[in-house]
Amino acid sequence: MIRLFFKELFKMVRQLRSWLGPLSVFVLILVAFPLTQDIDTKFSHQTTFSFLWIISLLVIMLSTEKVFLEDFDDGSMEQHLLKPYNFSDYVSAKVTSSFLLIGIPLSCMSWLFLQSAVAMTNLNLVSLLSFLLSNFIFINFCFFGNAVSLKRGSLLGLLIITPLLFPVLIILGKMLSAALLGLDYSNFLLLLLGCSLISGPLMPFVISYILKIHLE
Amino acid sequence: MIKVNNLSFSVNNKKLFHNLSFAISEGELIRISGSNGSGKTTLLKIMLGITPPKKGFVEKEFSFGEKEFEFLGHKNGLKTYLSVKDNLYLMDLKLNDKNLKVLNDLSLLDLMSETVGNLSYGQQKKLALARVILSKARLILLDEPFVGLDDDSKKLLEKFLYNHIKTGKSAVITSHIDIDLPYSEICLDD
Repeated sequence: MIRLFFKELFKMVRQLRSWLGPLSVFVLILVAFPLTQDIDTKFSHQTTFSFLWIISLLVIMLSTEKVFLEDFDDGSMEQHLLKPYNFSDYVSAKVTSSFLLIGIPLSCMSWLFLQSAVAMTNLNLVSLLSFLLSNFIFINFCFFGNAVSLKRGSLLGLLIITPLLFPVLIILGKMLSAALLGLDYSNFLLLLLGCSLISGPLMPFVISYILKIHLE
Repeated sequence: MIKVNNLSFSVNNKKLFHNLSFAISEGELIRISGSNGSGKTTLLKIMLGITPPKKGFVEKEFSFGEKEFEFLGHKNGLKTYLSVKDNLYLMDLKLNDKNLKVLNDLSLLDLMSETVGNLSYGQQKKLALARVILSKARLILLDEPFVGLDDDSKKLLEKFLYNHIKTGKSAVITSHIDIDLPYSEICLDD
């Protein structure tokens, strides 16, 4: 499993456009967003958070667009299916690599932008944690969407997963509202953690089953 | 090693094969022949367990710990943005003397740092075949392995298949091109 993960990471690192490209788009949007505002505009917490979550989701969608298509087209997915390890391990290795190269940098950049736009010293750790957890969930769902629509274009996959992610966005919004009102937000954070803990181990099995159907 | 029992498969009510039964024993080479669309690739995929049959079943018997299959289909499974060496690394192949000799025989040794996307179709095919040749699988399944190969590479692959069978291992190939090896034939046009 670890060997498989390093191989997937190696492939992804060597294919710069699959992760550096989307990260560059994210940076450009972060730079462009304040330029559309007046110089004395004060960003509200709610707007900044919402902007960062939505833009992170879009960048993750962009970066995972062809995550299975390449392996499917060149025949290497078929070969993974015949290897002695579980096929779901192959999916897990891909998810973990994407989270390392896209999810974590996106979370850190979002957090840094948040610090520069709105000072939230009392929510430093929580905001970073919320970005990490939400990006992990977004990556898992985007992989799911791309697996479903493997041979029909990524747009269909995005249309399927976006409504599924509405509850996650609602939880994120409610958590922020509670935090801003000084209420206990730990329940929402635990809910988010629960979503991550469920989707993390479960999604690779679901995705691998869908991919097997495509290979048939 | 593998027993195919009463296998049937159809696509859109068109029967590709019906009640097909055969066995692959140790040291045997089987050639699956048939016209285009007769179900050669499908049969290989059913034997590998990728595609479920409509009827019948496949029995596999391998000793514990053995590497069972190695398969090369129409698609090479190569990463075109990586070098030849990187592609071999992804296939868990070590560059020891024995493997380097095979790569040299396939004229791939001088291309180790070359990006696979820059190689010709024949060179890419040879690299994909190198993965199969260098593996220690008991049964290898090759779908049209001779397509795109020059005469020297074809002879080399035939020599490899001959040695592979001689050591008690087995192979199944689909091929339109005649081969100079003893084989049992399964014709899907019958």
